[in-house]
Amino acid sequence: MMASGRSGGVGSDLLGQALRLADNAMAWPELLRLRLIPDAAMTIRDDDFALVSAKLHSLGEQLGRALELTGAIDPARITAVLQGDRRLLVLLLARAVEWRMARGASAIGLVSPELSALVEQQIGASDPDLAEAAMAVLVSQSRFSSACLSYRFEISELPPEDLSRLVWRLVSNLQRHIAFEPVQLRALAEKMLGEFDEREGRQHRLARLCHLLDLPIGAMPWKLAELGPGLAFEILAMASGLPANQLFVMTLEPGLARLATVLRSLEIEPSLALGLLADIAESLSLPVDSLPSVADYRSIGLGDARSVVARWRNLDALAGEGLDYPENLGPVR
Amino acid sequence: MASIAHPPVTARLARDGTLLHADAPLMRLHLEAGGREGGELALPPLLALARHSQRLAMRLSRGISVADSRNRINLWCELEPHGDGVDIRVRDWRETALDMPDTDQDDGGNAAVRLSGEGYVRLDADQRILRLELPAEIDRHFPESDYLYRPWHEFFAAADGNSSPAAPLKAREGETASWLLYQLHRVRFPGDDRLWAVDVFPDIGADRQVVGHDMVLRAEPIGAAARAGRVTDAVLDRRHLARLFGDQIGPALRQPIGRIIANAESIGGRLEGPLRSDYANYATDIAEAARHLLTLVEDLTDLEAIESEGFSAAREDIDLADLGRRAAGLLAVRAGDHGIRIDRPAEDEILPALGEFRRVLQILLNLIGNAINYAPQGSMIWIRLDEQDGKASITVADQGPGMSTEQQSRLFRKWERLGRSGDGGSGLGLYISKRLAEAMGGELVVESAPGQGARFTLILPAG
Repeated sequence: MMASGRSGGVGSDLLGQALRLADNAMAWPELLRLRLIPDAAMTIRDDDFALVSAKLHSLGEQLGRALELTGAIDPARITAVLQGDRRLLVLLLARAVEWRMARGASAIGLVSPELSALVEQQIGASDPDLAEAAMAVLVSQSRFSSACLSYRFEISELPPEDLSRLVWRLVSNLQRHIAFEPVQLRALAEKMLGEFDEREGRQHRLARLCHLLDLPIGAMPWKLAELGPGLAFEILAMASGLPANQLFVMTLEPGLARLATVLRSLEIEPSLALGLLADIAESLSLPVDSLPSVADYRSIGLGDARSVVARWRNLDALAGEGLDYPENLGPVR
Repeated sequence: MASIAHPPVTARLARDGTLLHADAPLMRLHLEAGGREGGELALPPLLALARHSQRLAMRLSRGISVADSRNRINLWCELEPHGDGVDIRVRDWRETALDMPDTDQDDGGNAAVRLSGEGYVRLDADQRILRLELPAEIDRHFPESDYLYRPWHEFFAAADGNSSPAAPLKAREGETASWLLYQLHRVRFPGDDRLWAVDVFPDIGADRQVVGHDMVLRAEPIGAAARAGRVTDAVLDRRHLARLFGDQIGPALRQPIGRIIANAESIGGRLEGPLRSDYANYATDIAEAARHLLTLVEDLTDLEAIESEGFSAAREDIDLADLGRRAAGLLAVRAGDHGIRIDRPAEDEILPALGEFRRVLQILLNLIGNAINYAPQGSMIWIRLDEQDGKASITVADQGPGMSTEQQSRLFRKWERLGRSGDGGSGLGLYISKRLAEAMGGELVVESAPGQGARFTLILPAG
């Protein structure tokens, strides 16, 4: 893969160090911004951070293998490129929170993170599509649990858009800075993406199950033990138009005010909404006395809640800055 | 109640979105949605998904929702892009009968938009009528069953009197959903002679997709259509256009343009949170374009006023020195952005004149604004006063490139831009200013030479 006549590899030389630092320099504005915030309302727990770091490293390894970079490049270089992708970081943080919620939900009756009551019920459904979809969710939930326990990340956890963006970002970075044969690198990237099947992904399977269930919001059993975190947040995502990852990260915020606003915008009854918030707080060991009361919840005007959620939806404040379509780097059409 | 229908349905799109093949159920939907055989796929959610799959060059498997006249249809689609286009396989096809709407239910219409016209129609994402609010004398002719959930373009008779229905709304090629006006239509209601101008505002929801439309209707005077002949001729008739503009089009455009500017500036300023820099730049471009459009709307409104019979300006006691200072103050920030300093009349200067305060300010803003546009960075603009022989004058002088005699002879013509473009001007500003000056019993003159800047002087009767 290495182009002849050019220096290759980065090893531990000064140039490689400089290139890694250049990638990391993207973080300076964020670091500065965090210091400037008068009181940090949100903190990241050590266990979440540890899982995010491990998954990032695991993803880097898998991408390196797929692009035949193993041994030819310092893995830290790939990780540096990935950690500059904001959407990916949010996704990984969301997965860490989800995993913690799934384990903690045993306290509120979720028997196992892999199998919620609703999924179990659908496995025996007479509708073969529904039964198949529920089984697929069970399998992928099981893989998710296994991966989290061993601090791994499965590429199938990525939606196609995210995988495409990360791969092309990596290719772009390597082509600019490292002497890799660009044609072969692109061919490997296209092969990887062409073979990717989002039907293997857990998020996709959750979405499929939701699509088949097709239950109105008002008819949903809004209990975390009934639905499980993955399905509950996927339903909320489809109903609100906000990404599930963004919703998971909202659970890190004190008082769960934004999540309460989302529930209000969907006209979920106060008792059900506050019950769900209490389940989430319980599973994440959050202080329940900081949760909104019925009066607080009702005081959010429906129009206001919808307007605010529409703004969050339209702007998607956690949007990354990478390419969505690799216009200059993508497949030859 | 949901029902499951149809085994897997397949289709194939060409790279440009042309529907090359579709099994019968999908072809039926395509044709009902206004598509034609051999034409572009007329189901926007599915077309968008196919293009997404093509751009990513990746297989996708997603759920979408479309509708026909009676049912909401949830499809689960698997898409596989290839060199020649996209293959589509619809794995699930679930139809749910559409319920009659609860009249108290919030269908998402925009109250502010609704109240801005004489009639209002709320459409869903598939352009079917959810609500129709018309004056009572028309409304009574249309029972709910006539229009509810019916595509609007079937319901409205074509404005040109043909029996064929008006065309459904379509975003232009490459256009993304936005707050911009889609198209300006004229429609007639069965049994009503009036022509109704229609403004359409798309309602943006999840994933930046259109979730509905607000249609606002304004009646044009009875006989307007007859006088104008065919609607297409009426639209192109400049006299008719000029009459329409001040009364109807101008006011109708100002509101959506104002919304465009406000929203685009919010996005560009990242007021709601971080945003990709290129999207913020697009938003800034949108705001800038909308400001230019607003300027044109204002100019056309003025044009219509000054060219109307009997136009006159008020003769009030005004102070040209004060107006000069006001105009300089209003444009100080813009001048500063260009590194230009404006030497304005001293605070204790007074120059009484006769004219209309608002119109004189408009002229001075036009002259100083032009000077800012054409003067080099770091230069000066002078505002000087003079009184002579019963006339009061105010001169705006710049250090710009100046003009030849030939250019000066063309300068005050309508739409004249002296070959310049990209500065946002409409070519009407100086024409309007000169006409206004003359309407106040004065004149607007220019003195210039190439390389020697320009001096524009507004002369009015002394006060």
